[in-house]
Amino acid sequence: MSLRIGIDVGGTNTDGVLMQGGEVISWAKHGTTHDVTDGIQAVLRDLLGESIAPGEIDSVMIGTTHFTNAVVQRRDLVPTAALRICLPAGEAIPPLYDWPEDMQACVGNHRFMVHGGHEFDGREISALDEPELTQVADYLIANQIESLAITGVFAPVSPDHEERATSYFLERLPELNITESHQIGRLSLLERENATALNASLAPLAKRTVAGFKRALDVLGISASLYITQNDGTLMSAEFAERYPVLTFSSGPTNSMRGAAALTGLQDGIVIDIGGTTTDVGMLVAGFPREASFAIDIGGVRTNFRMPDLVSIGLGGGSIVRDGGLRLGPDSVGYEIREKALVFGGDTLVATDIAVAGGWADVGDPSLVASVDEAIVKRGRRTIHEMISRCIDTIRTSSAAVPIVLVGGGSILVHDELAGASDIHRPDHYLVANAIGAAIAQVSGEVDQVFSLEGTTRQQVLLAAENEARAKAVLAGAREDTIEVVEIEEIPLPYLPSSAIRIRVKTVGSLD
Amino acid sequence: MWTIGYDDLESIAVGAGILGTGGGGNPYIGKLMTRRCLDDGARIQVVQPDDVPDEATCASVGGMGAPTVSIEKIQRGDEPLVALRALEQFTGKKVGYLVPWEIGGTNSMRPLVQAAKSGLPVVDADAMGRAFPELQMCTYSIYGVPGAPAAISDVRGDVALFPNISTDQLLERYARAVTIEMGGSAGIASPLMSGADMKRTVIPGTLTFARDLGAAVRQARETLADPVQAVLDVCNGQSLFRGQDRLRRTPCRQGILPR
Repeated sequence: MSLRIGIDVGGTNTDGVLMQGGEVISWAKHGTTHDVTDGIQAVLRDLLGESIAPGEIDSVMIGTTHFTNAVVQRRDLVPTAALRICLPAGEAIPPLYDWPEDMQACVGNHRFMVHGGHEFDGREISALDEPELTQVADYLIANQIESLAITGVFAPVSPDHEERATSYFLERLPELNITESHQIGRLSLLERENATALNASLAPLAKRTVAGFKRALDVLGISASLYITQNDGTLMSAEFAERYPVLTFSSGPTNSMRGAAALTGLQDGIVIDIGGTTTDVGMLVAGFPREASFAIDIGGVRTNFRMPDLVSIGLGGGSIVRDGGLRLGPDSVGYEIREKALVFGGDTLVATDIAVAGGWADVGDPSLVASVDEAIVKRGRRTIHEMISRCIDTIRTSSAAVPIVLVGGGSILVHDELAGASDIHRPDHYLVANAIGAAIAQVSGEVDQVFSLEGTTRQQVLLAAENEARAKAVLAGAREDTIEVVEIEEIPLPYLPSSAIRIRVKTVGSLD
Repeated sequence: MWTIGYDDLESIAVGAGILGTGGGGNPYIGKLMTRRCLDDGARIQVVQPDDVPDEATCASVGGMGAPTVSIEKIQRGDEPLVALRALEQFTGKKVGYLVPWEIGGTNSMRPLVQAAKSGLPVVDADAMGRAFPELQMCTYSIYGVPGAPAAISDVRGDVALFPNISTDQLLERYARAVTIEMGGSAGIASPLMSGADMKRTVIPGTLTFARDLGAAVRQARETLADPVQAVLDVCNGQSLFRGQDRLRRTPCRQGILPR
């Protein structure tokens, strides 16, 4: 059976697992390095060890929060022009209008609106105006701007104007990094435009980072296929990820939930991922994270990606304990837990100390917390469980008790009695659930298209869309007998007099 | 009389969202449109219905169309005003006051944008007190102020005028048909009425109510208090039950999403 490696490049740690089928052969954890390459190399070295030759690895899957962190921390973003094809519509709100000021400063004030775009039924709002594009190109040249985000009204229905604008710009500026909105997101112009601009502004970082991933593999002589995991828990090729870094934005939580599902065999339940600083609680439905139905904010910018529906709170193993145990977090000693926590010989009372003092966790030196007041431990335990129970209540959809999977280094904080849980799973390898989620990720095929119902039936159209999505999954490397349809969405086009529907079908399949 | 500032705008958006009771579209886009007007230095004055003289001419303005279209095709901004100007030209009357017709959802904001662009004051009132799907359901219609003459306008500035329509139900149907051809969203001006008729038919104080409701919820969120209790306090309401929405379906019929 083939060997695959899953790696999770987080803000603090780079985790890796070596897997054969569903079995974890070995795992490793190292600090994330600035250039990402060294951290990945260290992990790969550990995983291969003495006994495994680099040539035996079939595929490497990397999940990363690198691009999300770049946006949140406002670093490595390049000046980007935002072009909206919309006039005479759209003028009431200019591009990137609602961005936080420091984000606007990162990409600069280079915003344009030109004539063009489409109506909901594919008609042109107005013709695309080439002289207007010329003016924009002149501006880009004069101001040496190397990234451009193009967003056309109703581009998900008709990408024609975006594509024509792209060819025009590439003819004049062959080196320009262009992101087209129809490649990025769904209907809802402002959110899609925001995501498109974020993607364009991440272009150089994406090239460097993916090159760094490849270099780490090259240095160790691993010639396996390299995949990057995306928001929905499926894989994209390294080349695709290089062009669409925003598609990785929430792959971290997605991977850890997928990993939790794989480790326990649970298809439905709640996954609680507790790290050093934060806790993410999400819901598994049929083995995949339930998606959020509202706009998701990335570093203060509204987007409309399909992201897992998560409840996040500031509670983790390093959360600082205050008010005699009534309050924990949101501040945390973070990665310094091994110096600062009482159980490790430090001088700060943190959540982990409470769990060790109470006797339901076993890390560090228990004698160092023997003097902690019993009342504080009791209150602390109650606070931890109240905080987590509130998250469970928010995320679940019925009052029935649900199975719960605990993963992440901070999951030792949770005592076995948890309100709302039917049973609690603490799988082996809970520390590297995210890397496991990356390793088991599947490939997908997707069709998203407007179909006319003239002279055919809804059933026939759905079947055609499904077959095409299956074929796309095969093309991406999926084994035919593993392909499943995971999502069918029919979007009636309101106001359309003739009968037409937009259909999205997603299939997933395994690589081997 | 009061003037709408940035903070009021945030509160109105939250309050209008609540008053939309699940319909009327998200006030977010309208809020950004209005904020942009404030950035340009516009003043939006709110007057009480009783401050409007009986013989003054008032007009209701707003947007018509599917929320699914309006989140994608952002407006040019002054469509309802273009419709209003056409209506003024046709009737020979000069409008002195704008009146919202729907305080719930995104239509709470459209009159504010038109007020900013025209300098006309907005009356602190509306004709629904929340969000309703159709024209004939508003209080103007119920208390006998006819919807026609009415005008609607698209992003190009094209205008369709309805000088004479026998019932408001038919006006709704014809206006919707034109809206579809206009690309699924349009600005509308209807009805034109005297100050006396306005005062007789509107639900007074709803703009201030939306603001106060929103302000209370924002305050509750900031102080980590219960926002539901904050709403109850402002409305003098009572909580009947608390539950969780488990399944929501939005089928689409006759070209419009039901609310």
